[in-house]
Amino acid sequence: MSANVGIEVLGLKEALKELNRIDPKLRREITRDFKQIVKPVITKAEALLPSGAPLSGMARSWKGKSGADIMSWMDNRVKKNLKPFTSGKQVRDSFSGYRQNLGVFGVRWAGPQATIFDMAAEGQLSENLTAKYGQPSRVIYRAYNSAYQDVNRQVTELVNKVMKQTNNAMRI
Amino acid sequence: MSVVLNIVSAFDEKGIKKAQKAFSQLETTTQKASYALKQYGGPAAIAAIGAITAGLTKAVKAAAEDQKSQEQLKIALENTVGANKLQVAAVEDSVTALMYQTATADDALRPALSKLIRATNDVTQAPVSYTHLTLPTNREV
Repeated sequence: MSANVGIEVLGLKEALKELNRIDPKLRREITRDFKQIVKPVITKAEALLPSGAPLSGMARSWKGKSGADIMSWMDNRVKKNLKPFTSGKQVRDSFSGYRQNLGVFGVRWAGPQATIFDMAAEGQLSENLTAKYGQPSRVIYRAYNSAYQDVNRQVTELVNKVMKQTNNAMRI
Repeated sequence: MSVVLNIVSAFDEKGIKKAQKAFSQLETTTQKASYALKQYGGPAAIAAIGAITAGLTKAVKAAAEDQKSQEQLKIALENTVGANKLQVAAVEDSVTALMYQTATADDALRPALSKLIRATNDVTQAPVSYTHLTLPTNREV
């Protein structure tokens, strides 16, 4: 489940790829810079997380047909799965016709617990979650909204920096 | 399963490239125009193009009539009072002013004025007679 909330840039993925080829150190610096920029969002999101299972039943172990663990809620694991990403992956079509890997800079919260807690909108479970934690999105978009102006401004500067570095290198 | 928030995403130019490719494959300008209209306007837009064409034909016809009436007025002025270019231009200006004042089309005003100039042999007398005699008739029509 993904959504684009900020800026769309043409050729940024290619620029990052090029930067990685020219100066891998600088490329890693970009990742570090972005982590720093979205730190307020991550901090806010972590603050919005409940301590302990959001609903009592979510502390239990739920397993899917494959036997994979869907739930139980463990604070450390859920918190660890919330992190910023910088992606140079090539954009491609998914089997269902959607475009994949469009994100370049963003925040990902991995795990079924995250998706259920953040976005569940139908059924008894979601009603109980809404009663306790409000409408979806309950964490990640809310955290972004609290700091989006600063984040967008700084990210734009970062994107300009990447583009400038790549252009300079190409001029050489 | 994960929730992803893309703060900066790659601009997806797939749709644009697809449209460009389809567009470049079309051979003639007309085909290109109708392709664009089908994509973005549908049958209504094609009907509108028909209306525009009809409108343009009318406009061209009107312009030709306007030109003809200007020529006739110019000839009448030159033949009757020996008007020069500047005088013809001044009469044209007065026709334009009269058109706005009376909300009467200039190509309806010019033939009437030509007739009056021929009858009176006087450029100053003709417009006066014109306003008194012709315009009420035009309004009644």
